[in-house]
Amino acid sequence: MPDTARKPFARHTAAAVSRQSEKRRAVYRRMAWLAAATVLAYLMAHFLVMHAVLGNGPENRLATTMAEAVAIALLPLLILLGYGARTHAWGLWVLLVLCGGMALYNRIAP
Amino acid sequence: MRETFRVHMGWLHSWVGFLAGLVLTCIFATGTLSVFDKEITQWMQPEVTLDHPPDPTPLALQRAAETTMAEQEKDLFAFITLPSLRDPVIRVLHYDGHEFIGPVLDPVDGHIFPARATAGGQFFYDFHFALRNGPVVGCTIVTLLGVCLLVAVGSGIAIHIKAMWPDLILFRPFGPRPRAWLDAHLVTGVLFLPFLIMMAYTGTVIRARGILPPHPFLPAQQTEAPPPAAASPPAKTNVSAPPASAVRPPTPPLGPLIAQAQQILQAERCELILFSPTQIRIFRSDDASLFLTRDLVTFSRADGHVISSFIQKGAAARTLELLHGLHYARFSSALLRWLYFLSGLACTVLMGSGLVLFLMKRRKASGQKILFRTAEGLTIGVLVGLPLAITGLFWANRLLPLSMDARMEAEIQVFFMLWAFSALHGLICALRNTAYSGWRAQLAVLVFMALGLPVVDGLTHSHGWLQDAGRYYTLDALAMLSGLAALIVFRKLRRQPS
Repeated sequence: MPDTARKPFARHTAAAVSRQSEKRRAVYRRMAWLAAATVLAYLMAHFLVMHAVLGNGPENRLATTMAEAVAIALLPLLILLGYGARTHAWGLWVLLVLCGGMALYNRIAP
Repeated sequence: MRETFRVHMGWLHSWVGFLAGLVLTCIFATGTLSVFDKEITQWMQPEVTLDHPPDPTPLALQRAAETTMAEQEKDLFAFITLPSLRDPVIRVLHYDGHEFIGPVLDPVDGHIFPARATAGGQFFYDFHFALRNGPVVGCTIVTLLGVCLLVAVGSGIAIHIKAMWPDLILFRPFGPRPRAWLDAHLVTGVLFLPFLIMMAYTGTVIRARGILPPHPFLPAQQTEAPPPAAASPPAKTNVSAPPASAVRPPTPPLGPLIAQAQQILQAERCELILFSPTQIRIFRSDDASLFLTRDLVTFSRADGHVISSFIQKGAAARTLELLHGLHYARFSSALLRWLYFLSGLACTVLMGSGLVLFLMKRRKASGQKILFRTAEGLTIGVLVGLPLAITGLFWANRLLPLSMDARMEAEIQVFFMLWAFSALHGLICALRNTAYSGWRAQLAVLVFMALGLPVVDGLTHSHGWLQDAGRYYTLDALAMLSGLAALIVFRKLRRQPS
């Protein structure tokens, strides 16, 4: 077959392969962002519960259970924030700052 | 590819919704049935007559106490549930690792009904909250799935927030198939959104400790953690099964103790009576108010004097009681329970239609891939296999011999075997690229079994149809309705091959 007949087909196939590979990479990126957002959101929720535990007030058990209720409400919201705001690349940064802040606060003033 | 906010949320909604939705659909379906767990138990134990007033006589209470002692002699941690308007009999129950089961006593003369061994509505309740995997593993999985559901709901709202109002009123059941399924998904999603969020959130909070344990992971926090003794244990955990060898003193008459407990707790009704070697604990009834409490009065087992009472107070405690009460819905009237049931059904439809949509959207691009076919096989197993297995459980309840050994286990085995067959058949059909015939074959079996259930119920002559038969008419009618719904889908599938 002459080269002139093969070239457009080859170009078309290469473009399709490239599109597919780009799509695959996009999916991997999404999964990584989601995993990172989930880990950070979970840590934030955990630090929130720990804040109540470390408080050791007279109603400690109740405070812990309340903190769990708040943490459970926050957990999906934080995951959505961390993952959804990835367009502007600040979702994970916000989670990181929140998480670090909460950990620091637990350390300084439990 | 444009990476917009809606694209991200759409991807998250699709994948989290589908992967978690396969199990969440089953959890929601069994949770919906659990709204009527007591009524289902009564249907499955037709030997128990319910035409008595819900006030137990002293004789019946004495017999119940004796039965409890006899159960405890067998090393079972048995307790008494007192008659209520929904379930006007005395039950002496123990936890077998999955369900609360035990003898049923007449509230007038205290005789034990010769009721068939069955897991009853408790089976659906156990499946709903622990997937029959025990209170640790199962509950943790269900709680994690609850978080997934909240994420899927949140991303769904983010996708559709701009079109909330049109989604609420637009339903085109006779439109092209993807459109009709999408409309069904959106209408149920928008209309029942408050209920869905409420149930998902309260359900996840109830077992939150499973995924958010209140102990530190980091060593820095470990050093500052309070000693475990600082936390007072919940009232329930104070009670443990006494050793078989312990000598148990005779029980004082329970009637006066119940009256005293009602007075102290300012409750119209008490529900649970727990026994320890030295104490008797009487708990306030769950259906007393919207707040699901565990308020109790502790009496001495030797002479029946009041030792202490425990009444939860404070805004935080009341908030938690409210969250529990909203999820369990034990406070509700019959009308409200039906609303819970219908809302639960709508949410199950929401999830089921979501699963179907996921497959429809990807059939063209990925229909030949093995993962797609596996997903379709599993979807058949969930959407048709689960109702099939539930109907099979009811058939087994009527058809298995009453005197059969391990009858309860046999009923449950029928359920799981039917479900496993359905999933296997669905998978084989999907993998052989004949998913369409798999859907149709299983729907045909479901139609037969659901429409046949009232016939089986009638032919087995297990109960009368004139007196105290409301529960039989209701469940049989619901089975017929499910059969008719399956028949409509079956006929529609016959006309429109995919």
